[in-house]
Amino acid sequence: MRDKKYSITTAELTVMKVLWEQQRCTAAVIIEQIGKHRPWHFRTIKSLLRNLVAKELVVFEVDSRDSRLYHYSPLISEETYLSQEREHFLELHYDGDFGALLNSFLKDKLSSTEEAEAMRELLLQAAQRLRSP
Amino acid sequence: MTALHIAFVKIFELSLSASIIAIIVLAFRKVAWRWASPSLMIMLWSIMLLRSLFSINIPGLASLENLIDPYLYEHHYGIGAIMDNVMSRWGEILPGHADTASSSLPGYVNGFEEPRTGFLYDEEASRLRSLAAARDQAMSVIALLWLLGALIRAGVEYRKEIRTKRLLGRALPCHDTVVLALLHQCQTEAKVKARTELLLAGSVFPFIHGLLRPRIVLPYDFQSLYTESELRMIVLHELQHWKKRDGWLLLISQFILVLHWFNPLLHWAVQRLRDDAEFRCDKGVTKLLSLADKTAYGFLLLKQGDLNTRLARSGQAGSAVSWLEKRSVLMERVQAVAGLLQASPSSQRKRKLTGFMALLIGLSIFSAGNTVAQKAAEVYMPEPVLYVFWMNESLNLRSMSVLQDMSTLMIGQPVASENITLLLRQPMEQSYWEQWRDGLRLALVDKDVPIPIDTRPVLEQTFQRNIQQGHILFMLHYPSYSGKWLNFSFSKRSVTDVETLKVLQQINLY
Repeated sequence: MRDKKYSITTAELTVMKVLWEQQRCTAAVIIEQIGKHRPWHFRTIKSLLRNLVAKELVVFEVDSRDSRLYHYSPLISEETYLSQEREHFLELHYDGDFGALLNSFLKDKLSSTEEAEAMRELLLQAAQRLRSP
Repeated sequence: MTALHIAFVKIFELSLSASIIAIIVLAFRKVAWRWASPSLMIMLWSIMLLRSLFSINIPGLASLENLIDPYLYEHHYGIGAIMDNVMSRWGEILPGHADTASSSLPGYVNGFEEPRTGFLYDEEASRLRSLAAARDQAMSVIALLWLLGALIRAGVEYRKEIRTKRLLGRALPCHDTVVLALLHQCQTEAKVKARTELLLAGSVFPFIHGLLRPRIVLPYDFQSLYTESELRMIVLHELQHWKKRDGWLLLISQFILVLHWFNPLLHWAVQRLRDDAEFRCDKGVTKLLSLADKTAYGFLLLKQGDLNTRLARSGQAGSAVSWLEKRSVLMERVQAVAGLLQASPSSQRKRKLTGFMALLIGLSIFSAGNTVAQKAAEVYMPEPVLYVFWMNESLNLRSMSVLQDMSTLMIGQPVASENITLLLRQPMEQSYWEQWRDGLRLALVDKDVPIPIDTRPVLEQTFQRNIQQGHILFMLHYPSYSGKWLNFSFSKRSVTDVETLKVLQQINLY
């Protein structure tokens, strides 16, 4: 699996999702899987596969019994893809370009180690009071 | 333009009322946040949101408006008075407002439609008319600026939401059976029935998105970041947001910020509202946790703060400082969780007292002032009224003295002059729906649409009063909007002679 920087368009991601699920499959399987959700022409999907091969994100092998049949496999893992997405996320979030309609668990950062210590102390004291009869 | 003027004046009034409410709620929050339940705070904020969108006309003895409105609108240094002065000054400064109105009025002569000429504004009427035109111009400029700001703000928010949706589109579904089972268990605990989608993305912190279908997004490396117990608390927290419909609360508050973009107090208040929504969810989660887990929840908040700091630092964009980082809600949230652990009989009493105070504040900020309620009952969207005047042929219908006499007669007072009299005052019989339809149509789109009027009752009056000659002025008055600061109205009119009434049973007013 490669680890260098790459870019995947949203359309290419649809193909990658199938490949991550199947791990190794032919173009026909990919076309069938995508066809369940999107009315894309098979030529479009084949173009996307070609792009992904050119970007070295997908590799193919020719079938040993039928030379017309290609087996495609992903070259990057879902985790590698998502780890790169993190940079995109941080860019959006800290540039204030994120929509306001999401509720996060906690967006804030710790402002200082002193503040963190004060909070830890507060929680420890509360927990201690709980334990004492 | 009238519709835009009405919209701006309405927003201006609502913004002022909402600002006062925001100050009161913020002060209450500052003093009592330790004991005030987050749900009560959200109730107070919801009243603020409601009052920044709609006029509430339910009168209340303890209404805050009774105290505040006289200072805001009637006092010499009040904002209403300041706006009045600004617009009057505009009228005095700007040249070129000399009266250019035509000397004719729409009308009929001997039963034929024909403009009636020869009515020129005298000096005083012309001055007032010029001032009114300048005020109108000033109002147009201010209202257009407001509209432009609102459109820009809406565009920016829309772009941000599209970016968020695109980011969600690039998230991957979570297939981890352990986490999916945990989600199911949390849904049962939190009593959330909606089909919830679990996604993995490059996010730094977990979040929930969606108004109709909840989608919880976890950082892709959640397994290395959180233990199973921590993950449970996070999912419970996000489900609380869904259960309390916080997504809708955020949508409404964002919409309000689009309309009231010029009001920094409301921006501040909405930020605090968001914080209180988080406190409410924290409280909801801790209710479902054991005592030991409640402490762990506090530490989890701390851990997430630390993760946000570290992960943001590792990212290229992490060096950019967002305005969100300038203040720490984390401390407040940890203090609130610690507070929940230390509930004592005295703090319970304080909580009850604070709750009672919050309810009183809620009542005083929800109800309308007596003046507003009375005005609303009397004037708000009333029926249009037809006034028909008789005037001596020698009178100039546009002289100040005649206009003043007409105003006096319209409010039911007698006038000294015998050259003018009110023949008829007749409210138009219309259903509530017809009033709205006509009011909106005339105010918004079709100002020039003629209104047909039956002349027979007027003819009868002329017979009874033995009127043989003179001007008969028909005026249909639409009091379209009555505000605290400005009132808007418009009228349709036509001038006829007595002969026309004998010939035509119906005339058009323009």
